[in-house]
Amino acid sequence: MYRYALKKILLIIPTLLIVSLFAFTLIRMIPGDPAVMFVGDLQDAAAVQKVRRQMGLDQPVYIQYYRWVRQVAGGNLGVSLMTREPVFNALAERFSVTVQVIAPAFILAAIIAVPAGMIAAWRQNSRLDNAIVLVMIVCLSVPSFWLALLLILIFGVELNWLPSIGFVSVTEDLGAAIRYLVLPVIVLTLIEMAMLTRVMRASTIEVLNQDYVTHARAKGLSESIILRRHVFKNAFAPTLTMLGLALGSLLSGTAIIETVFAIPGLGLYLVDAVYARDYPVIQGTLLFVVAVYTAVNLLADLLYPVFDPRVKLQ
Amino acid sequence: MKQFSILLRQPVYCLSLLILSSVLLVALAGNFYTPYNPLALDINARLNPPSASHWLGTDHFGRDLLSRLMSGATVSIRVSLLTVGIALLFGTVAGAFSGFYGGWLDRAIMAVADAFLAMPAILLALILTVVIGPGEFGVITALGMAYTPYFIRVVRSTVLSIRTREFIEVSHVMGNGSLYTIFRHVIPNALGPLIITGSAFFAHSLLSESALSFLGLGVPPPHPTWGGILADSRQYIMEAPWLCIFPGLAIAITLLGVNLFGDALRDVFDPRSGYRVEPQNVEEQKA
Repeated sequence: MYRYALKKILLIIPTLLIVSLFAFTLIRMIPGDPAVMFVGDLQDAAAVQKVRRQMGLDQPVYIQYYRWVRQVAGGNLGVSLMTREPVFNALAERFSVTVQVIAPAFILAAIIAVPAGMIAAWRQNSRLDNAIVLVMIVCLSVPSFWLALLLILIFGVELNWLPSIGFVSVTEDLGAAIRYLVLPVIVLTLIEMAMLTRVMRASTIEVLNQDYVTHARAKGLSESIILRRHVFKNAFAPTLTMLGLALGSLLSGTAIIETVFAIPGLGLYLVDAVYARDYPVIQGTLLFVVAVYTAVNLLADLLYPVFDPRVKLQ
Repeated sequence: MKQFSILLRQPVYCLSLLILSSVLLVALAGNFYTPYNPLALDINARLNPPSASHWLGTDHFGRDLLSRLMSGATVSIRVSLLTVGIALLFGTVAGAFSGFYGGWLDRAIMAVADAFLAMPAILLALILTVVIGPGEFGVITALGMAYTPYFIRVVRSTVLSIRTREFIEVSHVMGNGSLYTIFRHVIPNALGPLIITGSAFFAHSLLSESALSFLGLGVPPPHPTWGGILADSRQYIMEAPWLCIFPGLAIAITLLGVNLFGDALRDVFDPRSGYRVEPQNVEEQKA
């Protein structure tokens, strides 16, 4: 177990190294002098020179990279060009908003997708299976931003049941927060659900063809016990990996959903930064998302042997 | 060829072909003919609902929506095809070399690919458009770069599974160079998985291109794109809901066609992922 875990952790190092190099180069590739951009005044040569020295821009590139990595590792992601606010603080604040949208969607999607995928596989080629597969394909084909607009049009504008756009934090007012969250969470759930159901269905089909399932049936076990006790564990392992990946698509999906619903989360922060060319924010968000995403996928990898112990031996 | 006769017996596959060919036809037609000029302003026809003269209504500048959607189809499909083309080209070459040669080359290519996979694709594309700049070229390059690692992985795993097979050895013994062997014998064997991945990522790029245009970071106006029209519709969602409904429907129908098509292909080429074709046919195909 320790060897497996250690191997998974060590594999992250080159990834983080390359992503950090990429993020560092990204900023270098942008035309213009960062010191000038920070000062915002071309004429003030003395101030530019001072900022240049402060930012370490007079040093060779590899020293700049080394110093930058040390700063980032210490949680210093620089300062936003627009607000002059530390990027890390803003990211932490924005992330707490995004979590409130992602977490319910993630949990709902898993709760729906796992049984739906198993039932579809169990009744493979039946009308029920075809219906589930079709619903999932339709969900995959509907663009999230269009679905969001349609829901706003129906529930926000026509029926006036729910607020169309905006956000209230759960910690402020739970009732209001839920009313604001319903529509974005529905959109994100439907999209994630489709992918997860597909994986769960495929892996369940594979497990159902195994000899031990036939053996369990021959023993006279009921179908529900076979599914719950024998099939679920093995079929869930690949879905677990997919759950980690689903978080990545949720994180990037929020960029669009948060823009449509005007939710001040991580996604909207990035989109606004892209419009404003606020490079420290863009760079910081990239690093932050990669860190979260890598951590979650590592967690999924470490949990994998709990469901399928065979991987430890490889 | 047997695969295709199996495919044609499935109604879903035929439906997907029907959808895809009509979308392609509309996109092609949009190059030569649209009922109105998609860029022509007509102040007298602002926000007209669907009618006999404007089948899908008009937008806030009085431009004909049907014409704009037709011309947008051309842009969307061209961008998606080129994106998949770039990812397919670079992914196949890098993946084949990575799997075939192994060693440090493999490790280096895979390290870079894994690092890019750690950045969610649309996020990476969003950030790359900042460096490359918005516009058709920016979108294609950004998405192509973001999708390449997926193709590298697919090709590499196929290559690894056939590298030690006899026919590759025979090719070596016959005195063929490595490059010849890779292009003549290795890559053709990866075609099945590549077609499946290609169709999946065609859907992804169509969706991402629309999303980027929706955010105003894709192909810039006044050129019509499906995502861009949808973004404009937000301001008029109460007075002109058709502006929001039709472009989304166009994206959804196209994606449905691609996804159904991909699903049918997967059933046949990759039976392990849960085939819905009669099992005896799959056995035949393996034999």
